[in-house]
Amino acid sequence: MDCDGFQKALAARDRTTNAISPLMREHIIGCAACRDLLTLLTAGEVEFGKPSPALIEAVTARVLADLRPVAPIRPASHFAVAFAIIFCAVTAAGLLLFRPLGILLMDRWQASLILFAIVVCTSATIVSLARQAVPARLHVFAPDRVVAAIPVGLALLLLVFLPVIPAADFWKRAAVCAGVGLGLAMPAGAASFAVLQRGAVMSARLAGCTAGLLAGLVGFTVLEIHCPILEPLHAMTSHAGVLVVAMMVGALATVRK
Amino acid sequence: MRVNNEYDGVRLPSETPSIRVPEPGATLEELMERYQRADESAVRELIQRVSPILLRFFRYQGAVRDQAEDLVQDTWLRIHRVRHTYRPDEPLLPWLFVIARRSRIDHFRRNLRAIRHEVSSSGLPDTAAPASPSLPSTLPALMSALPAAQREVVVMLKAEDMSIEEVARATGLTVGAVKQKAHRAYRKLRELLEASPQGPARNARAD
Repeated sequence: MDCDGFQKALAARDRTTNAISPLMREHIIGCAACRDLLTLLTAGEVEFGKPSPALIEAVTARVLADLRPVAPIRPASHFAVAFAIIFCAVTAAGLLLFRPLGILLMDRWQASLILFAIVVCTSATIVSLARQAVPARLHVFAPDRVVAAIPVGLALLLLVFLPVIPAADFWKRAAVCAGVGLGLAMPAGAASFAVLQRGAVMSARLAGCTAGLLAGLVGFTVLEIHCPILEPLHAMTSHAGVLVVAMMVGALATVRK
Repeated sequence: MRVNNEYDGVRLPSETPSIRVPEPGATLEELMERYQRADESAVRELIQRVSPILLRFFRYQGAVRDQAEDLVQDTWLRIHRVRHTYRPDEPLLPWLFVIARRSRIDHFRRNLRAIRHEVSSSGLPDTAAPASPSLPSTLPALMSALPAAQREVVVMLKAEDMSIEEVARATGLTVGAVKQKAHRAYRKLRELLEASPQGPARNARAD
């Protein structure tokens, strides 16, 4: 084991595991620097003194002056269910208004892949948002990576799996689709924000951006299922573009706290 | 209990896993649940037991005594305001540190705005203080050379004796990201120790 391996192994250990393994022990016998590091980290508590009595009294007085019972926040799973209901309800309403023309024009593999990608991305977004709504939840995926990876991933998917067919009136059609997508994203976004208000997000801008992504996914899903223009540039600009705009609106909406 | 080991004349640091010694009486989690139910005695005990933890966290982050006490007070006001966001049966320390971190970040941003205003008013260049040429080899002194994110992770893991999962909950990182930050921090600490004139165990050889 080299020094880098020792430091990696040390970084993987905490109070629930033993401090050093036999391999690590063997390494520090011969390496004074790593031995110094382990000694430093296991040297015991550094005393910084206790808070002053005046501070304790002041804090206690402030807290007791306003003490009343409170009900604990709901678990993250309840928030996840609420976000899932919002997504499904607004998407279903959108598909009732705009018939599923596009999905019927795709071949089986294209349709399966796009629907699978939508399910995966929406699930990841819902889980991330629900965990941001309740403090000190464990994140499986970093929330900032979720909001970065999903729009890029979906855009690349469209680029790779849809055939490039130049279409007339590109910008006019893109504007129509974007309008439809954002029109559906708005009620989904408003509902998601209302649910988030019942939580306690620590990073308002990131949570807003994630809520915007979820709202954008509603618009994206309806457009992918409805829109008969199976052309990657059109889909990236207008369908995936709805995601980006919705995320930006979500992030900006939280700046005014 | 820590036991020093010797191997081939070299005294090795302790191998025993760190054990949190439980304090007598109610656990912090039980006190917090009673606090949510407006139990005054639980509030008093919780403030007594948690305030030193918060003070130590802020002191490790480089705050001087007065600043750290201000931050402790600010954190308690936030804790009181959002006490309903603690979920019973969850560990309390990660939740506390989420709020403490928020308090520290907001305090830092307010100070940064104030400093920028002062610098722009006075016309002085904004330069960082030069690093000390020789760092003492104690953990708090060496940690001042680490970036804030790495310092937080090391403080929670080593000074507060939290598990990697608890640190991940407190910092909003994934478990993998916590390990990565800890690894980078240990690498940097090792380099600093090598550069310091006398490491803690450099001459710890048995006769």
